[in-house]
Amino acid sequence: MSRKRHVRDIDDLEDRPLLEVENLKTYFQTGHGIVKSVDGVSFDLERGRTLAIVGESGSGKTVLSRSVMGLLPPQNVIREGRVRFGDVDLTNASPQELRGLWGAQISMVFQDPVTSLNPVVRAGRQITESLRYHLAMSRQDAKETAISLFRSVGIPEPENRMQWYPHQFSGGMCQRIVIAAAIACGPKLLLADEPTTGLDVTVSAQILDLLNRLQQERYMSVIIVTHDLGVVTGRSDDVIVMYAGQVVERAPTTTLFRDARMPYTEALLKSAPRLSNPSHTRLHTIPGNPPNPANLPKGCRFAPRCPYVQPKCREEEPPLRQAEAPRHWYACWYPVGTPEGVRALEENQAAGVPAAMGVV
Amino acid sequence: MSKLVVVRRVLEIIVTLVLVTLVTFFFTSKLPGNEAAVICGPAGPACLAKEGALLYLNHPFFPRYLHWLGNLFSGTFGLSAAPTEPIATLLKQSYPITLELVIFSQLIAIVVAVPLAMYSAVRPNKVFDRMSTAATFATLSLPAFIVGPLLRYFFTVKLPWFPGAGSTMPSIGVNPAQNLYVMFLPSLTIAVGSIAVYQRLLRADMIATLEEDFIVMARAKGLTTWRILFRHALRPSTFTVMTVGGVQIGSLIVGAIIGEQVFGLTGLGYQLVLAVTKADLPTVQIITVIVAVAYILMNLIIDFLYTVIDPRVRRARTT
Ligand SMILES: Nc1ncnc2c1ncn2[C@@H]1O[C@H](COP(=O)(O)OP(=O)(O)O)[C@@H](O)[C@H]1O
Ligand SMILES: [Mg+2]
Repeated sequence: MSRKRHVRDIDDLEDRPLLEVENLKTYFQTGHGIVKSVDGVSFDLERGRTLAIVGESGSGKTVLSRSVMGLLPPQNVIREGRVRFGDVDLTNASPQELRGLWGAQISMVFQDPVTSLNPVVRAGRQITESLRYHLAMSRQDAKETAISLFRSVGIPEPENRMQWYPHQFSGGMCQRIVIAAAIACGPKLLLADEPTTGLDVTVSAQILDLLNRLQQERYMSVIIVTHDLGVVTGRSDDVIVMYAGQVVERAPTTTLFRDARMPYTEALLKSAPRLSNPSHTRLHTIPGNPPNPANLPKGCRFAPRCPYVQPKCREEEPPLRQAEAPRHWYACWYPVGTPEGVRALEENQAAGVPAAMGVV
Repeated sequence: MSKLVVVRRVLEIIVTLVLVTLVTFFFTSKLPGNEAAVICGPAGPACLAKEGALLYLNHPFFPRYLHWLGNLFSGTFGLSAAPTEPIATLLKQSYPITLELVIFSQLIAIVVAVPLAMYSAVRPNKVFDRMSTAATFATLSLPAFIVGPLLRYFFTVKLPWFPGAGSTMPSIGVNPAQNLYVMFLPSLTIAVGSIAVYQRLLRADMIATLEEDFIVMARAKGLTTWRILFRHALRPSTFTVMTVGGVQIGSLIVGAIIGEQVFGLTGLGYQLVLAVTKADLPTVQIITVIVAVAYILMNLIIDFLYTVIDPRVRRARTT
């Protein structure tokens, strides 16, 4: 009996990035009005590169990653903009076409590994089902492939562990299984939504190293979503900083760490725990809360919490502007490290603006 | 399951059985009437004395109970009162009918309720969900003693699609098709009450399951809705249904009594009613105990099913 493959093959377009997201908007219609979770996000990603999406909790990272993939349930969702993946327009793809891509060409690793695995299905089956469905492998081939996947994500005694149920594994091991399931069919793009939140520091570093290794071995493009800038140091090529559903800064990782322009990025950098710091170092937290995406402020969305805030910020929304460094973009009227920015901060400190007082 | 758990479980069952038989015997022996009088009918006092001695009627409660229990465990179950014959013979003829009725009715209920519940859960509060929920809700207000006669009237008399009451029924081993053909309407009578219960519970659990992260992950794997529903969502959604299914066995017995009456099937329910009307106390006692034991067994089976369905329970039991 010959089985049918369920894969939508894609062609890379010449000279174009693998993934291009253009002005993507994702709104939810709720009883409390329209929630603008993702509000005009654009970026692109080359084959084999890693992009980090960073922002506080609630800034729309999860919605963005699911929206890129087309994974949001259709009810109450308004999705605009364009997502191109290879030669496929994901925003116009049929459900059938999407299914041929999901798990086969685009995969996702979720935030909570323990709840992302089906508690009543053996670990091995959760890997082999994609192999059998997408790649039409025989039972035996799928089993052998799953064992070697288990081995490559660092699960000891893979033959034996295939038979285990998720609750028999630790959180870190569960995340390895989720990763094995995600890469099983050899996707070109892997989205990881806070893959290490909830894992302890050592395990979390191991998981990130594993993702990095797999990415290089398999020449995948990876989008790694996190609320912790410390996580992405040295592991991603580019960083996007998100605030209230928008991109507020975008830059190659080294540029961003050296030369952040957006006050929000600066605040995030200060709040990032460094592995080198002794664990009792007090973390700088950003005062205040992100705005309610159902009721966004006028002007810059960060203005109410910004140490640099000026009257203009509360009136006009700053567009994404190009900085001097290549591929560095930011959205701010009074950028950090520029004469206007320095003046704005000094004025605010002199005037005793609360948001400016914590900044040294 | 570890040895300790098994031992505890067995002890529990023994205690329950003792209590069940004790309570049954106690209450039925308090019923008005005298078994010996029923057996002897118009026969004289000599007969009364002889039968009374056989039934230990002149003994105190506990020896009488132990004597009765002895009959129960020897498998002869003693003699029925009217007519006098071994109760075991009666049971042998009637229990397969009731067992089949209960199983068949539950299969019908599951086959109808599961797809309804699944489809409703996939699109909750949409037209199909509202209609199926309303329809099953309507059946909740239709007790078996109404459904049974209605089904019999419409489908054996008005539209003679099914054999009428009292048709000869070969055992399922001999002629399964004919057997199921006769059993269908009585089983449906009992099933109607279960469909609504199963549909609603499964729908609610299924809606909750479909919100789980592992369902999002299954979708992200590109699996079809069909696979996600059957391979990932169904099993974790069945806990409530199973628990309630176990408790429901009582109402199934009531359903069986009515179904057997309406369609003239000589199952346990039919025999129970007959024994009650004849004041045949020994038969009533035995059938009552059998129902209670069926209830215990059913819940034991369900406990076991939990461990099959949910590996986490399996581990909780062993540690
Ligand atoms: N299904 C939904 N309906 C309404 N609002 C939603 C829904 N999903 C997410 N949101 C809102 O969108 C915002 C962004 O959420 P999310 O993407 O989960 O943030 P993050 O992943 O960055 O923590 C939040 O304010 C959240 O309340
Ligand atoms: Mg999130």
